[in-house]
Amino acid sequence: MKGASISLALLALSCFFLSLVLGLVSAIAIAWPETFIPHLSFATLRPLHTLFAFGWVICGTVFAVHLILGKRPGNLTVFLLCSGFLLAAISLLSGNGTGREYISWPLSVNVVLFAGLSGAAVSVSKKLSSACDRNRDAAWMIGTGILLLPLSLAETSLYLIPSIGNNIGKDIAVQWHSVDTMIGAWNLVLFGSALLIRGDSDENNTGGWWRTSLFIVAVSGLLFTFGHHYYPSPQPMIMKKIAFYSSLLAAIAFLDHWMKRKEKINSANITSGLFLKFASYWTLFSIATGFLMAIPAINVYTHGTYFVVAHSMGSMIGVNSMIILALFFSGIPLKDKDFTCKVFIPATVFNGALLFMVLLLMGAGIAKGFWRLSLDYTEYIANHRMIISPLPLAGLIMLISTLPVIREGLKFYSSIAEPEGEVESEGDEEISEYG
Amino acid sequence: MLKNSFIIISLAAVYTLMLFILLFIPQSGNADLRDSEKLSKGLNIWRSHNCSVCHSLYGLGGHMGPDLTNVVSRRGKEYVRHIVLNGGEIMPGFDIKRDGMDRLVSYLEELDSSGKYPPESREASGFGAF
Repeated sequence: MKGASISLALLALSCFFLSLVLGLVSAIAIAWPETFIPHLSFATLRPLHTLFAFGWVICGTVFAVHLILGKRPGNLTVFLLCSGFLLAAISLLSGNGTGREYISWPLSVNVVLFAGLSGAAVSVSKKLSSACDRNRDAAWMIGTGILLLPLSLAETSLYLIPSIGNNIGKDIAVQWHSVDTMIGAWNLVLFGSALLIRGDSDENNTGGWWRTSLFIVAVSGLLFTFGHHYYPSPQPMIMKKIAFYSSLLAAIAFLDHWMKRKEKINSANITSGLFLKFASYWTLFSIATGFLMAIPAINVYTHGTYFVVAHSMGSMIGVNSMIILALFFSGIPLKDKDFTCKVFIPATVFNGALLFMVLLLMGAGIAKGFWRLSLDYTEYIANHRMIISPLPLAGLIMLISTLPVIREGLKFYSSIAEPEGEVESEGDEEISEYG
Repeated sequence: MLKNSFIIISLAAVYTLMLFILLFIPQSGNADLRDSEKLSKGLNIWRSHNCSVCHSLYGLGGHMGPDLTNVVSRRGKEYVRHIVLNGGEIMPGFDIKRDGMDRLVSYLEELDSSGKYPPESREASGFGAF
């Protein structure tokens, strides 16, 4: 089990690469289905793409938060996470999925991943007091996020209870509540970890009512906004109203990020600073699009379209992936020349291609939102596909431009035995292996 | 640290509370399935064929094909049977037996009666039509 946490880093980076490859293939299948679909099952492709994207963010988050806290995840935790995602990939490739969106792997795999994430939560909680000494906000964010990760994963399986799974409304409710909480949870862990590498101490934080406001916004965003995903579906109206008002509070978060957008980022190194800068711009984009979609009069046009996909791409790739890369690279020293060639140029091209992609998706989403009010699906689908036809180009540029970055990460983490930090003990024998 | 622990535990408690409220508050519309055993088998066919990869219900799911919330009332049961068995422009046909097809159509029919989607005019309520 030597080098277990490095295995987690390598698995995360591999998942990132595979999600981009499958994303490109999916984009080709979506944009030019006539040429592609007969030879490829989209029913296998999309769940795999989603699996690797989740694998990247979850494994990346677990590794990164341990790295930042100076603690190694337990060997068993790493083993469970690695084997869980591997089993999920095998299950989906062999056609043994649940047929649900996002968390489409079997219950048995969910149990393995739940155990792995629970191990990570226990491991991280032991270091929270030291994180609290560095930054109190970071500590509650990391602590809450790492606790809700396994809980929300467990919630995704609640549909197996017949009274929930056989009820259209409750099935949708559980599905979106769990996934939204999971995304909120890893966002909390990532933003909390980013606060720590930025080196912001409590003294630097704006105090008083503004800080309290931001806390309320963060909490309401985590716990109450899930309902804006299913406004049109038969759900309790009170939940939709709570989601609506909570989502409006995101205006405060937007204002805060907007005011801080030109601030210099203090970070562990120049590479991390670059990724955090990109993440800060994508955070503005994600909050703005999420806020717009939460307004019912706009949601009528955007819901069930690629506009939602654009929002999630900005959030998962632009925000989450950039923060994870910032955390990964906080431990990688790069010379100026290497930084320019291997990180700055590729990362800039990558983000440019991502921007192109989300603009295409937003355009296609808005067009569909208007077309479907007066036209039948068969009447507008050809024009809709025409708008997204350049999507594979954006995917290809993203894949190529990210290769040097992934290569640097893989090269660094595969060349070292273990990052600095105390190991999570699961047995004396395993501790001794780290030397 | 004590204050932080309190915050974390409180938030986890609110999360659990939200989940319970979500599962026990009555829903708007006709969301309860009337014949759960028969219809759950239809839902199983929907899931086992990964329909949500390409199709959405209430706008939730894939965007490659049309939303199927009201496909039965818009196109009719026979159209659904024909497309599922023979495929469409880009959709592959599926080898589903008659019994399974009946259950799938029953599921879609029941779903159809639970609400309306997508909206049919600019004046549509942002909180859904039931």
